[in-house]
Amino acid sequence: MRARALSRLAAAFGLLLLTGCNKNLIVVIPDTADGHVGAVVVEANGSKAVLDTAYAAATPGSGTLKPATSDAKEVKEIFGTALTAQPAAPSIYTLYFINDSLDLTPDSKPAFEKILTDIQQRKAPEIVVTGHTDTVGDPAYNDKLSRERAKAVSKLFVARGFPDSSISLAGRGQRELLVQTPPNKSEARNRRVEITVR
Amino acid sequence: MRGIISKNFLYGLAFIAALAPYTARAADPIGQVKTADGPVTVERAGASQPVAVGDHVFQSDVIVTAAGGSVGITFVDNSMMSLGPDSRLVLDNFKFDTTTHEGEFDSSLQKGTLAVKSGQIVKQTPEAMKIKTPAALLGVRGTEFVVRADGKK
Repeated sequence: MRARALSRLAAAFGLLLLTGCNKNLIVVIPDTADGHVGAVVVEANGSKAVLDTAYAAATPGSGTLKPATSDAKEVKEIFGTALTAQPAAPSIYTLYFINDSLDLTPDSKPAFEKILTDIQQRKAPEIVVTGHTDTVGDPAYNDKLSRERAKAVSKLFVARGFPDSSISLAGRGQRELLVQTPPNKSEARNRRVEITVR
Repeated sequence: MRGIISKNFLYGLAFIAALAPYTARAADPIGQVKTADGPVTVERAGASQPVAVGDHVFQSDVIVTAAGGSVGITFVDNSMMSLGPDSRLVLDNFKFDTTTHEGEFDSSLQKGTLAVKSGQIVKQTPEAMKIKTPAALLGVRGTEFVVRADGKK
């Protein structure tokens, strides 16, 4: 085995040859927003590894995958430029409306102004307006209704000078209830529009 | 009364709006460049052109940074990718349904360094985001990780 011969050689010289000849590296890092650690499944040479702890790493090369660990310092050294280039994380705001109208509730008026401020602070800002419904009516109808609600709300941003071309619309129907309810239940908190600024 | 908009308004909209859920077609942008520093280009339809903040990116684009270059892109499912210098990333396949959040996102890091934060596609369907490198295949369950590809196996 060539790998075994190499590692003997490395041991003999007290060197870690692996990092010298193989630059392939994958490291799971804590989420910059909330510290949450996710997971990545790595497959290489017929072997598979699940990296699901902070700084769990893989160095896919010629052999099977072996468990490895990196750290914040190494990640910064190798990936510092890529991490600095990360876009600002999208922000999500929720707006509520007075029933059966396009008038914001008193609480949502300052929230709307906050969204406009957020937009001004970003380079190449876009917004996504996502409508949600409660569970009254059938799901297909609610998909359409939620999108129409989003379309209507997008006009509020256009009216304040935000270009229509940088707005996209989505309707999630009753898929993401804020308050879990049985079918056909009127619930004001579920009739809402989320604004993603990115 | 269940809506925030009146019935008449809805009927009006129904006439003028195409109400089919948005699904990315080949010609739709899949993301937008949010940061760019130093030499960054995109290879599209056989031609190479410089990249600036605000530019849209499309399926099949190849994003390339030279020495000293870096670029950050936010995709329409809120996932983010950023490249360090001397890197080459192919946006092979991107599908996203904004209503169901179902989709797939396949890309190839042919060389260089990449930082990734997954978005709604992965939140809905773990491992629907795949990244190929010359040495490995990554299935993403979320959310943040970094990848370096040697450029050779």
